[in-house]
Amino acid sequence: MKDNGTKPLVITVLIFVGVLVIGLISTQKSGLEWKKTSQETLDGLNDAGYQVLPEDVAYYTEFGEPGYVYVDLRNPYEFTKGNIPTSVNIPQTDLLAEPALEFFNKAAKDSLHVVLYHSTEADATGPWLLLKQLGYDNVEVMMGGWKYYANESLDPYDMPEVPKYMVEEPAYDFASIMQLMESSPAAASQDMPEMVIPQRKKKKNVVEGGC
Amino acid sequence: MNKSYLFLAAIAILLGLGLLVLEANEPSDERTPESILVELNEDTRYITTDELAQRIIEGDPSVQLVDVRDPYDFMDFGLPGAESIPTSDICTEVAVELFDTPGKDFIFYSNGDVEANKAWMIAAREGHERLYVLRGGLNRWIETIIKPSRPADTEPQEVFDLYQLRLGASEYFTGGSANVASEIPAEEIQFTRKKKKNVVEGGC
Repeated sequence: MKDNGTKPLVITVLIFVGVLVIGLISTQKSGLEWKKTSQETLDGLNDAGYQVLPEDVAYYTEFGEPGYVYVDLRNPYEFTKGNIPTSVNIPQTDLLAEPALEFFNKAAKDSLHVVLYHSTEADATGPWLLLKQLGYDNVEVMMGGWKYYANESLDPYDMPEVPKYMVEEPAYDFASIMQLMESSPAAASQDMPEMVIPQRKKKKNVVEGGC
Repeated sequence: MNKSYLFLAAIAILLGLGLLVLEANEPSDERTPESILVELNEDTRYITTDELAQRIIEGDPSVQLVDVRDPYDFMDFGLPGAESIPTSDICTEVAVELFDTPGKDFIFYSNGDVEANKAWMIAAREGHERLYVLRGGLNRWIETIIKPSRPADTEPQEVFDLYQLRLGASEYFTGGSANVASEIPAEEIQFTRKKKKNVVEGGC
């Protein structure tokens, strides 16, 4: 009875254990892992200094500023048509491929500033945040992108007070436009009540979220 | 026999504990960097100001605008029906609750489109769905919808059609009081439009 009882039991448990172990191994992800949580990333967003001015890039590349490498995220065709001198082409589609990651790892080890640029700054922002969340803190973004660099003035003494690459600066007097919108009959009849209530809610919520 | 039972029970308990740890490591809805890059490459996250204006005018109930600027800026000026969620608050309960509303397309906007892209990146990573970015942000909204500029006479018909649409939208959002009206006399616009139409009709 002793032998009859234990042997099947041992075999069953061993099979059970085997299945669990296989399960544990197979659920482990093989891909890249985030190095920062979303909240950590958000907290770090306000750290100034991740944006590089296009006129500075022009100056650096002309006179040679050590410690900077420039990465063009556009596709190879656009890259060959024109690019920033000394820049390297890593198309956005290959951003997380092995050679690209090797490049970023090496740059991080040599503590180089990696300056990303795309057609516009907005297009480079996604890849920048992706790399930042993967732990590459030495990655920066050129404001304006290639469109600005190729077409607009790069002379710091020949620029409007608010250069075109500052896309987050309001280009209009929003308050006066708000008055226009409020005076519209459509807004007055439908949208206005809707707009007032969420605004109130929001203020409260924002304060709550901050805590 | 008792010993082997003890031994087996110990293994089972250990594995059970292991499963507990595994559960803790499993992220909720968080997406992988690779899947986000795929979405970045597809460029489907952008919505143009013209598309947005059209959807608002048609009363599309799925439009949920999200203003990611400073709340004080939002109080000064915001788009109709927008909710204010600054980028830094994307992970707060209020925001998560909003993003969990079913049947909505969440359209992020800021003054430009850089800040909105940041908000999009974090919200997308958190696993929220149907997220969009307003291409060009508020600046382009005003440039194209509130104060559209008249195209040159040499422009093709499509450009004029778009301009007519924008004029209509401008009227809808401002009650016809935007500066456009004063810059260009209404008769002149109608004249060009008629002319173009006739040309096309003649061609057919």
